[in-house]
Amino acid sequence: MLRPRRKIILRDSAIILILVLSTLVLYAVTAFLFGSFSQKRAELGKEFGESGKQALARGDGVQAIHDLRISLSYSPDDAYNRLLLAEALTQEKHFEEARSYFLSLLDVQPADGFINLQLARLARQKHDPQQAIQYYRAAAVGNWNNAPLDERFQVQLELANYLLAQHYSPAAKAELLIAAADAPATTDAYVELGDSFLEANDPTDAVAQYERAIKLDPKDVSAALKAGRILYQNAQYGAAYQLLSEARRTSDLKKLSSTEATELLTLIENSLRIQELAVGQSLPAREREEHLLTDLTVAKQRFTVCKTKLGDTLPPAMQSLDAEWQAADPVLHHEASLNDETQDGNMTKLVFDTEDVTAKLCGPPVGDDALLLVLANNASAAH
Amino acid sequence: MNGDSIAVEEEQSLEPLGDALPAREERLFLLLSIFIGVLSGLLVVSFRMAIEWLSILLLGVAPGPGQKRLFIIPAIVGFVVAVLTRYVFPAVRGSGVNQTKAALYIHNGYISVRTVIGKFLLSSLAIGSGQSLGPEDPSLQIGAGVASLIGRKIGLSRERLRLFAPVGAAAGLAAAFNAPISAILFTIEEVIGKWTAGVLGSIVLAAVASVAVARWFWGAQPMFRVPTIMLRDPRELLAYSVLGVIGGLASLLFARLLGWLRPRLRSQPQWMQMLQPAIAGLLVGGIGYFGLPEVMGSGYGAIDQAMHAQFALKILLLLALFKILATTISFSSGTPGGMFAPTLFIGAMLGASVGSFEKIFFPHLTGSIGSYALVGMGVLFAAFLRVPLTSVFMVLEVSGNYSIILPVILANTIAYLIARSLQPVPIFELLTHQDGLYLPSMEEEREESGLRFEDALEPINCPVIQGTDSSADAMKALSQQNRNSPLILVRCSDGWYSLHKDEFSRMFAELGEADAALDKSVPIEERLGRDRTPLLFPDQPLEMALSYFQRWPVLPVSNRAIRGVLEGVVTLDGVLQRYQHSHI
Repeated sequence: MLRPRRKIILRDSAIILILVLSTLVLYAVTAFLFGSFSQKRAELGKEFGESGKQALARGDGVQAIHDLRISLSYSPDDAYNRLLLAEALTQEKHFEEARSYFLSLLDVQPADGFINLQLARLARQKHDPQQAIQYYRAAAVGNWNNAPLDERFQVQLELANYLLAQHYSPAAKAELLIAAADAPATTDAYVELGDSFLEANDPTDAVAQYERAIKLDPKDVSAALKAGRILYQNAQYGAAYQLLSEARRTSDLKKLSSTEATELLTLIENSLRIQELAVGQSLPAREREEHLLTDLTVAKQRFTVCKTKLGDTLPPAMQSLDAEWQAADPVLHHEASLNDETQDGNMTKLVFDTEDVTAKLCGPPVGDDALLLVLANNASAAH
Repeated sequence: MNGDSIAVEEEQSLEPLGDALPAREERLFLLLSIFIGVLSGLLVVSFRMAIEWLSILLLGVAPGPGQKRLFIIPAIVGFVVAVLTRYVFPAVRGSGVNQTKAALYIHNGYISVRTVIGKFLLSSLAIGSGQSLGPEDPSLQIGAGVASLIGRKIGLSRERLRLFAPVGAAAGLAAAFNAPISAILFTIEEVIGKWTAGVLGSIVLAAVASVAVARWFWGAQPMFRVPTIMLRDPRELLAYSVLGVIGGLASLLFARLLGWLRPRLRSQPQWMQMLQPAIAGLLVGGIGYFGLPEVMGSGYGAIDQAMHAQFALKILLLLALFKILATTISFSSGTPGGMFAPTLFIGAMLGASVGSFEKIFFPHLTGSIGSYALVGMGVLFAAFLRVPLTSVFMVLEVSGNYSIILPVILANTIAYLIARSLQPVPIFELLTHQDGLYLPSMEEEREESGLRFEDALEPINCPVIQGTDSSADAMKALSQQNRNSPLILVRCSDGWYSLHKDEFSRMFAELGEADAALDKSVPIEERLGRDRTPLLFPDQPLEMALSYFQRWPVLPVSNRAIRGVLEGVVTLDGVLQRYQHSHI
């Protein structure tokens, strides 16, 4: 009984040994062939990947897609080429395919800023604001290989602009404030931020960003023009004049287009002149009286010209103004004092009403009349 | 190889081992399963590598429409394959699934080395040259061949040898799909047909070992890079149901075309059959040359592209249609190669078509095209190959994504039911019939419901006496019950005992004669010995009963809920009548 058992054990051991050896030999052969096969595949993947990349760089999206697809058939795990293919697909407006690729890439790199940004743009294209905002936010805090500060800032600006386009102004302002806190210290960044704040109907923060840009580069006349324009529009004529005249003094106006240069000079001139016409309560009494008399003279002149233009049959508004101007004659001829507060207010109102009515009946004013109309509109808006 | 030589080989192997064989086989079986898995895995890796190498060498690094070699190469290689099939490897025709089943049910698990080598070489040549066939089914046969070879060399018994083929088949398929669960389920659903504990452990071991080897080389990632999938809107299930219907109908078309063309080509003269793979290569190459090179070969690249929504709706439909045609032509021509990959391809294209249609006409439903392509693969797999369970797990495994399970189950079930009702004969069975073989249909076997005890249950007409009674009390009880039955049931404290009345009377008469002084108060269950009728329940298979009737004249059938309570009894006559009745 012992001999057959021993024979079986020996035989089984021999069989297992043969199997182990066979396995090892087959493994060695397979591994060798697989190594050479993998190398060849990698070479083909690299070759087509490179040509696809070049095609993409020269804007040949169709060729890029073709080459990158072949590349990926040999090196399916090459995330970089997949990214390039997704980009090429986006470039060629194959949005659904691009989205699929980016989503598959996101599976592997969920925190990648670029992939999230691309998906956000594709979601925008798909009119899916919820997804777009979600991807934008992920991109804004995501990983970026090069210049992460700049990239995140740009993403936040893009998000803010998208929110503005979607009429989510408060959310847009919040994103801009976050972006402003982390903005890279460059004039371009501050100017971009200023532009976005302006678009978000937040002129105060817009001016603040332009001023940051000017502080960083006092010769940045473009930022000065933008800030000055806002200040002027917000009736901050003194500040506008100071900022713009300083920019004119220190900067090279050749950096501006001719239209912008003209605008700059006009703004300086107007912001100075409008201060001479303004009758604000903060002015000393004497100065205020002088301004008002000038305004009355200008407005009277405008009224007379308009009245002549309209002929004998005056509209009711002009008839009413005519009566008021006749009543105001003593003041105009220095026969009555302007020190009376009520009289002062009435005269100012007469000036503003005249500019308003004549603008409607006789066409837009120019020169001082135009500036008085601006003051009239500011007063009207203030009330 | 004929049957005689197999028997001689087996006898030579078994002769010196004598009685120690079963124990030895038991020990070796699991260990050998691991070796089978590893060797199959290595061979399948080499097989897939060979296909890709040949594809690069024969069709170029970037095959595209208008390249003349797409026309010429498949035709030339087709002719070479035909010559080799005719003169060197005659057993390599077909996919490999039916050949493995034939090895299991007809040839006692025998698959020749020549067949394995031929399958490897000719399938890789055919698929690499662009024939519209897949590598999975040949991998299955290669695995089974490896297992058969090892089993024979070791000298396993005929029974074990027969079981080894499916073990190798599971290993081969698992490595090809990188999906062990699907391979195990497919082997059970389509090859063996039954869950048997004895073979399940070996199949699992072999499948896991082969997948481990495949992953060592190819990496652990799923077979397809599936985009993010999510079922966002329950209304999408309607679209998946539509996909199920379309898949069911497409599988019907595919099966009908194969069923129609294959026997016609096989009935051609021998010289004509030799030309068929070349003609098939020319036609399939023509499809590639004139604009659809994706149809050529296994088509995995195109499946990946469909999943990433890279085809327009019209192209997707064309690809599905031409893949059905190309696969029908390639397979019917007798070119060795499988149908799994083409099935997945067609399913993916149809699924992506439904997804694209939805995107165009119902853009508010946000399902990705990739998810439809993935579900489509499972749908065709379930409907065409008739393996519903495998199809569900296959989708989950090849994608590595479990969030798609609900649409997969829904669509696969619909497709399977449609295919079953419109094409009652499954494709593998159809092919075996065309080849003149009658292998068991696993689908039919699954549907068969055997008789159970409850089907032959009879009321208790025989007297029942208590085993705790003394012989005198028992005799008294018997006379009081006054039933005509010749049988008696004794309720003992530890079970039941059944016997003939004559036997009972004789037993106590003998007792009385032998020892008149015997205490008649002793319970009769002690006098009956320790033997008891088997504990049987109504839901158990009736065939179990037959072996017990040699010992017991009647079998009590117990209630599962209340101990000691009988549902009824079964008798030999009753069982035989029930079987005769069931086959009328």
